[in-house]
Amino acid sequence: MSLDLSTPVLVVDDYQTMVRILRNLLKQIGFNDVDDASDGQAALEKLRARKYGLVISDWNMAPMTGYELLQQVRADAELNSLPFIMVTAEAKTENVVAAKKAGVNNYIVKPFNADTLRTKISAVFNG
Amino acid sequence: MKPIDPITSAVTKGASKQMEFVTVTVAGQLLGLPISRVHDVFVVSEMTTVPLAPGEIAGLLNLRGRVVTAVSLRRRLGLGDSGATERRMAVGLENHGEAYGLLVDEVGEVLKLDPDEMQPNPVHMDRGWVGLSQGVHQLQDKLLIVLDVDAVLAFETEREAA
Repeated sequence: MSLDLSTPVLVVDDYQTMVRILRNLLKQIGFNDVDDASDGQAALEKLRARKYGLVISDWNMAPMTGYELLQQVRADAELNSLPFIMVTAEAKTENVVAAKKAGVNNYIVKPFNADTLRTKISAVFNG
Repeated sequence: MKPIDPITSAVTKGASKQMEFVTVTVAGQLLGLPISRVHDVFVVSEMTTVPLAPGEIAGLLNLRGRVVTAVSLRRRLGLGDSGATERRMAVGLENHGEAYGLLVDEVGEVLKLDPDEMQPNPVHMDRGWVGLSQGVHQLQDKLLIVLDVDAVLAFETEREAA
């Protein structure tokens, strides 16, 4: 997998201010096709309707959490190879381990900056 | 000053000219930070106080080895601490490679505003605030002060110059 800045990115967060900040950071990095969804269920519907190249999702959302979204994505034959980055305020080891087991590609603990986001995305695409 | 409805304004004027601001509240005052300078919004959990640090520094956040300086926007604006014990919100900023968490009372929404509609600081604005403000936007029911992020984080430079 190589990083293509024209790849459609889906940002998933129920906190609209954070969605706008993430969209702006992704724009600064160079991504020009960024969409968003306000919870896991809405994200799943978008992912099944259009081909995205990357998901960046918050963990804590209702009714479907980012972790549940990740599990659903990995269980879906059409989506299971989709790069998925989880953003969370929780640095608990058990959460990181659970996300890794569920198949997350990378994990960002808040607070973060544009460089962290860029590095984590690059790591997903460049190994 | 002419009131601006940010939503109508965004629709009628087109998006290209608009600037986005992350809004925060301190002591009931609405303030805006250019979104291009904001990289995160987070809840402050544990903070270490720093002896003899400038008063604006509320403490240090040690986040997995990365040190983030917590700056109190209340103190920076010459206001006292709120005394609130509920969760503290911070806006993540960077300046000259240093990471800062700007402590605020509340984080609000993101507003799209036209830079041409920004007004100069009101003549009666506190002198200390004038130095931290780029100008103001008169919204429908309140005044938004646009913060100069570089100035807000320049408290050490100010002290050295004094």
